[in-house]
Amino acid sequence: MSGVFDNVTPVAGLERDAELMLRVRDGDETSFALLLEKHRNPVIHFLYRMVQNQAIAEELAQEVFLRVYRSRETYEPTAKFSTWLFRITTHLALNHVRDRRKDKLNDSMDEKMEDGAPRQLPTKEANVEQRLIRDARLGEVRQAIEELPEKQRGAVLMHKYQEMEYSQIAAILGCSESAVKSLLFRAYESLRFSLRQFSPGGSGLKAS
Amino acid sequence: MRGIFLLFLLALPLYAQDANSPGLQLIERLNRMTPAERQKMLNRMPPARRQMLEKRINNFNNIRPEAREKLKKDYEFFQQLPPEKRDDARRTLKQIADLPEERRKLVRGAVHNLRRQPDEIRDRRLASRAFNERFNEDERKLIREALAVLPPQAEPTQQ
Amino acid sequence: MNCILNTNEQEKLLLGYCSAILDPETTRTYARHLSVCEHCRTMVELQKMVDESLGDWLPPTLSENFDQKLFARIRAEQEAPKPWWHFNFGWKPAIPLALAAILLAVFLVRNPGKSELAQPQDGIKADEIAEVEKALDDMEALQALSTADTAPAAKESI
Repeated sequence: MSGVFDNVTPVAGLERDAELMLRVRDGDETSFALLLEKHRNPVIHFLYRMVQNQAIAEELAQEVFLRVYRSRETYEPTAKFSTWLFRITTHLALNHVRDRRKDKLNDSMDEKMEDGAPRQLPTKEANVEQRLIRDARLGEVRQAIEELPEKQRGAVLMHKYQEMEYSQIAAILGCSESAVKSLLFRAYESLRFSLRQFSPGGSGLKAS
Repeated sequence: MRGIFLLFLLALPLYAQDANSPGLQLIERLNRMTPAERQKMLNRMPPARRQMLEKRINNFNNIRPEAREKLKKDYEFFQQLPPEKRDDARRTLKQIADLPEERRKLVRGAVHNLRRQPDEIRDRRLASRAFNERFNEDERKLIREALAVLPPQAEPTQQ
Repeated sequence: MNCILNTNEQEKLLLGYCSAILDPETTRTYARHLSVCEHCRTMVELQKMVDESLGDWLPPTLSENFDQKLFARIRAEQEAPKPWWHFNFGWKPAIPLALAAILLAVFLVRNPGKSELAQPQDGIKADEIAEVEKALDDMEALQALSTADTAPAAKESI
C-alpha cells in the first residue's frame, strides 16, 4: 500500500479555504481577497445580529479580517478555516457585548436608530395591517435576540444563520457539544416565549 | 535555539493525537483476556448493554484477519483527523447509511471503487458526466466527503 | 404539560424536526408523536414561527468601501515603522522560551496521558465503556463502506 496517510483528496469548500490561507501565509494577497470575498458577509451579518448596529458590526469585521491577515505567518490549518474565523469573530463580538453591558447606562436609543432600517424580505402583502404586524414582529425578534445572554445569542445566530452543526459551534465557543445543545435549547425556549404572541394559535407558555 | 523551539512545536501534534485510540486498545485488551477475566472486567455494566458490547466485539473479531487489519488501518487514519473532521466524517457516514438501500449500495460502491483509483483517474471520474448522471448532488457530496476522510487504497483487496 | 418525552429529548427532536435534519425514521416517529401530543404540536408551531421570524430579519447592506478601508488599514500597518523590540527579538528572549519549551516537552513525554489505561480495580469504568462503544461505532461505520464491493449494485458503480 502507498503512503496513504498523506494523500487525502481535498473537499471543495473545506480545505480550499485552508489552502487559500496557506497561500496568504506564503505571501499571496489574491488569496486573502478571495477569502474575504467568501467570508465577509457571513462575518458581518453575524456581527450585526450580535451587536445590532451596522457601523459597529463593520468595524468589528474589519478587526476580524485584520487579525486574520496578521496571523498569516503563523497560520496552521488545525481546524476548519471557518471555525477559526468564527472563533475570532465571536471573541470580538462577545467582548464588545460585555463591554457594552458595563456601559449600559450610556446606551441610548440613538445608537439603535443609527442602524438604518434593516432590510426585510420583499413582501407580497399589500395589506398595511399585515405589514405593521410584520414590522412589530421584526422589532420583537431584535429585542428577543438582544435579551439573550451573549453566548446563547452567539449560538443561536451561528445555528440559525450560518447553519453550523453543534460540533462546530462547540469548537468556536470552546465548550462541549452538550453545552452547545444546552445553550441552544435555552435560547430557543426564550425566543418561543418572547415571540409567542405572533403564533397563529397564541400560547399560554410559561417563561423558563 | 530557534531550532529547538521549532522542533518542540512540530512535536506537539504528536502528543496531542493518539495514533491508537483508547477504545481500540481496550478492545484488544479485552480480547487478550480469558472469558472469566473479561466477565469480571465487564460485570459492572448493565446486562443488556454488556451483551450488546460483547456481541459487537465478537462481530469485530469475526472479521477475516486481513480485512480486520485493513479496518484498523482505516480507523487509525480516521483517528488522526482533527476532531471536527472526525465529526464531519461521522455525519457523512451516517447520512450514507441512512440512504435508501439501493442508493446506499451505489454510493458505497462508488466510494469503494474510487478509493482504489490513483488521484488523477479518481478526479476525472468525479468530474465525469457519467458520475453526475448516476448520482444526485447530495450523493455526489457524500461521496466526495467520504473520500476525503478515508485513506485511498493503492490496490484492490480481496475480501 | 403531559408529554412523555423529557425536556432534552423534546428540544432535540423539536429543533431537528423544524430544521428538517432528523433522519427519516426519527422524523416519522416524531410525526407520529405529534399526532397524539398537543403540547409538542404547539411547540412545533411556535418554533416554526420563531424560525420564520428569524429568517425575515435581514441585515442592512454592506458599505461599499468596506474592502477598500480594510486594505488601506493593512497597507498602513505594513508601512508603519516597526517598534524597536521587533528587531531586538533575537536570541535573548528565545533562550528562556526554548528552555520552557523543553521542560514542557519533557512533561508531556513523562505524563501518562490519555493512551495509558490504569488497571481497573473493580471492572471497566463508564468512560472506558463509552470509548469502546465509540470506537466500535466508528469502525462499524468505516467497515460498512469497505463491504460495498460484495454488494451486487456496487459492480455497476463508477
